[in-house]
Amino acid sequence: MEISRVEALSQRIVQSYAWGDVVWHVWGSQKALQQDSKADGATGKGSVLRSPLVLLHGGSGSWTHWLRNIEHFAQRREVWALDIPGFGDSSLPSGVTDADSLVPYLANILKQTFQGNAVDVIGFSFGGMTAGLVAAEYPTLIRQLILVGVPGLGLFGKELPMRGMTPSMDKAAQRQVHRHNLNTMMFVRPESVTEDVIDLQEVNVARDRLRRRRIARTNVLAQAQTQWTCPVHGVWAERDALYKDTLQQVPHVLKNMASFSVVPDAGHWVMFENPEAFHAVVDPLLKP
Amino acid sequence: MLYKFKSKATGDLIMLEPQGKHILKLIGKEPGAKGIILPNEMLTAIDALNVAVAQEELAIQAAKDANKAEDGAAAPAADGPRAISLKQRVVPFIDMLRRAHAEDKEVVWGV
Repeated sequence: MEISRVEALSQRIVQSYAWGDVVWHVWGSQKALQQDSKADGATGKGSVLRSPLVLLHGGSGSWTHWLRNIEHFAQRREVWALDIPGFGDSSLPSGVTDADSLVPYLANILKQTFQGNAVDVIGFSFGGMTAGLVAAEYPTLIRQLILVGVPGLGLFGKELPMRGMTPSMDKAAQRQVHRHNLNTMMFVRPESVTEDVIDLQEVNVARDRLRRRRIARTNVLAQAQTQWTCPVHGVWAERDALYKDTLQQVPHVLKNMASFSVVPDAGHWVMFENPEAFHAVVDPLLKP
Repeated sequence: MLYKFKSKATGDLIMLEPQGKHILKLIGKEPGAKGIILPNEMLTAIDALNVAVAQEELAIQAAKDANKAEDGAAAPAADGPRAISLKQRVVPFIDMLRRAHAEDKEVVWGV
């Protein structure tokens, strides 16, 4: 399975906070390389320090939302993929129910992890909206932000026809629900929904403890953008189901973005469905 | 109005009207509702954008120096909407031109 292979290349870091544990997966860490080389008696000379790149997953996700991108970014950057509190293997702080209440926790995690140094962040969907709120309230923590298909712009129309689970459903029926929901919201090509992707989705959805979040449907991010001080770029999928009739309104609503690029042949989970085209758009944004 | 730049070599790049017009003027194109940038115009266009970015950076630096010289202390942060630098804005556009040029495809808008 691809998840095990990519995870085996990472360093899993568990940080303890007063309210619970936070789990990062890190690739291409110079610190880890230097520690390894010390253990081998080597000096570690000649290594070039790579700047960290933080990846924040979407709702009902975990670091595995970036499964097809991590190795690409790790060629040039130290990649830090977070399980956002309340998702994946990270604890849920008490009282946190949505992106707005997560903001101080995420800000503190970034501050502690990177010693207050501003870092580059790519945030997908819910994770991008939360990062956009952090960039507004804690402008010193983020050097550059790339938003990928984020909500919170007040542009959502009718709810997508997602299906729910009932306790009486057997395993096969549950997997059918995941398949339907992935096809409805995340992908444009039915063949993108493989059995492995359903496995990934099952494990992530089961660990989502922020089920009652609602803020994505408001324009909370559109309001917060006036406080941004770092460059913020937007990258959306051409066929994002959440922006079916409103894609062209995004740059009007998020006027404070420095650029707005559209990735062809992909749905909402753009970096998974068309990773090559996604990397082609994001790489030049990450260079400066 | 939006400027939607398209190329067979890349995804679309969308700009609000003022920014789209500004960038087209910088590369010597008429900022009309429709237009085309041919592959053989792209390297010159990239150079023009890089020159404009360098000029803007010099102007920003000069303004900072002037501020420092004036009051001798750090200037207070300006209120109101922040200025997004041309450097930040043109990154994806320059990349679009580079990739389109490499594949010998034109960039069009409004069509």
